[in-house]
Amino acid sequence: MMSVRIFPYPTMTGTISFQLSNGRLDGADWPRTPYVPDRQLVYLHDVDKDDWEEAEFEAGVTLPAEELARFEEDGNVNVLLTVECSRTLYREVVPLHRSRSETNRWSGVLTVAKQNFRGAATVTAVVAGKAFNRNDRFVGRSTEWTLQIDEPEIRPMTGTMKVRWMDFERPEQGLGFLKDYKDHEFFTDMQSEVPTLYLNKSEAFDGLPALLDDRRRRKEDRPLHDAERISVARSVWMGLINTAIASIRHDEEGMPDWPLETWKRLVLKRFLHRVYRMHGEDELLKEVDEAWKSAERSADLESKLQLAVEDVIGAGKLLRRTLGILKNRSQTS
Amino acid sequence: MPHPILQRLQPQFRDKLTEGFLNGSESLDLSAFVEPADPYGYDISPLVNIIEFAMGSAFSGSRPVDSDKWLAPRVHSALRLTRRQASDRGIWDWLATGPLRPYVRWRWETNGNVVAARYSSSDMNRQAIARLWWGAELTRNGADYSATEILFEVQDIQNVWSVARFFRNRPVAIAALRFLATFNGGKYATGDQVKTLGKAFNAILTTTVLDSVSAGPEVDVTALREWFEDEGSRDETKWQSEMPEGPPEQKFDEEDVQRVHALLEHLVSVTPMSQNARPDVSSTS
Repeated sequence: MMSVRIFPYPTMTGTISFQLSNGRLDGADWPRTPYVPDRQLVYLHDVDKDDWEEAEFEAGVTLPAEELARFEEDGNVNVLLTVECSRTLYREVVPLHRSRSETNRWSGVLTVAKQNFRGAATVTAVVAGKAFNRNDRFVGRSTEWTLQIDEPEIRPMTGTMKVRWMDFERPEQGLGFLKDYKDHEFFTDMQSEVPTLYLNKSEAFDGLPALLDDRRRRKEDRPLHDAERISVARSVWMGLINTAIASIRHDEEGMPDWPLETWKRLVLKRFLHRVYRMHGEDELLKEVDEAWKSAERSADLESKLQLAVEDVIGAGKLLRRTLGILKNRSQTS
Repeated sequence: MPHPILQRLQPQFRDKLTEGFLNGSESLDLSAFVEPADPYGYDISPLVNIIEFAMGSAFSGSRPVDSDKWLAPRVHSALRLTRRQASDRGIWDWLATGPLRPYVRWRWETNGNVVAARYSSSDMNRQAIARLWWGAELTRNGADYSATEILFEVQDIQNVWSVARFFRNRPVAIAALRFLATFNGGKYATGDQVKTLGKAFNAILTTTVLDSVSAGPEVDVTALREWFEDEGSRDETKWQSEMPEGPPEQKFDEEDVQRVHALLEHLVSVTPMSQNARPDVSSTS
């Protein structure tokens, strides 16, 4: 069931269109465009300039004209942008100005000072109007834009995570903790800001890089290659999911809220939508939170999450391929 | 003796926190997890000194909890960070387990133990040092920290109001604090009133665009930068007897605060508060 909030007064129907465009970085043209085509996504971490201080964007909001006229019969309509960053507890309101020629259009300049943000920020256009004789009532909102200020922990478009090969016996500076895991083939660091899968290339695991790399391989090598990759991926994704669920926050009333870290939110949304296909985001969070606290339901949730992970990593397809190879091998021997 | 310099801890140190560390019977060598922090090479002696003064002199005969409202503005003014820098959990981890560990034990020890979250937590309301800094940052009005004292006066205000998203809008935070501080004829709202009003305010915000009621000013990046670089005003010896001043950003329009105050008064008029009714509503208006 999709989440629908019901208001005790009419709200705006139709699309509230919100666009960010053009803009500048530190007063000059973008060294490289930050806009991800066809997505409401801006990659400010990937503009060929790491030490930027201030980014500017042109913001434009268009309201459905007939709906606007209906609301203006009762009083003024106010359109503004809300910028929020959960990591820095930052909230900023950007006032917009109404166009004289296109009266259903508002525009303004969004300035992003890097020092106020970490991770990602969201920007939403919000429309306020008069209802039940009170001003500043919520009337409608646009879909949100995401400003990715720092390298995303997990890439929002592909869901892939950072993977690094490292000699666990002699790790590079700052990764000394890997020595504790020198007898293991991999270690998933879920505590750092960017979760990373470290694969062990020490002498003890000689041959692991060759087994797991992405080159095309001969048919007879494939079963072991696929099995090992699936085993690592399954374990890593389950670890990420369980860490993310354990990080669900609660308010004083015990109501669940999404984890603070972006990667945890992305992991939950990606997998929970597969488990609870008919739920809206709020219900989804509540459902998983309740299931997690119940011995019986948590077992069911884990089983379903395992199936979701199998789907995402394509385990079924790879297993069928492996079985096909083994069958052919037995027929030819 | 060299000045202590701000550092950060890598998150992997969290696996090493032992029961012995939490009950104070053992110390830990966390040097393998220490790395430079941003800002680089930042002298934290004003911070360490003012906290030692609070423990050793200002509040030596008082309950440690009473020091929160006094310390929060001083911690904020002694540790001048951007929000980006302050959102690095590693610096709070290092401060609490390293140079300020005696303070964490002094303030938070119960039956010999300190819970791990007081040393390291993603929740800014739980970590012993971060809660003071962020409390001041969210409630200062330009350079004025007077509302910060209100925040730390009543525990329920921190637990219920300061964690809500609306509290990130500074004029709203200030209006809410003033409202709660004078709710009962000039006296603080009780814990139950704080909770009831917090729930009701959250409910009313589903139909009211608070950012339209009170937008608040833009961040003055230049004023902040000048304050960060002004070492002369980072004199903790003065703060032993007087309140420090925060970043010299412009104060926000008092009308912004009044509009939120009016909304809160409306809220009281429509909220069933039979168990928690204030004695004289008119005296607070």
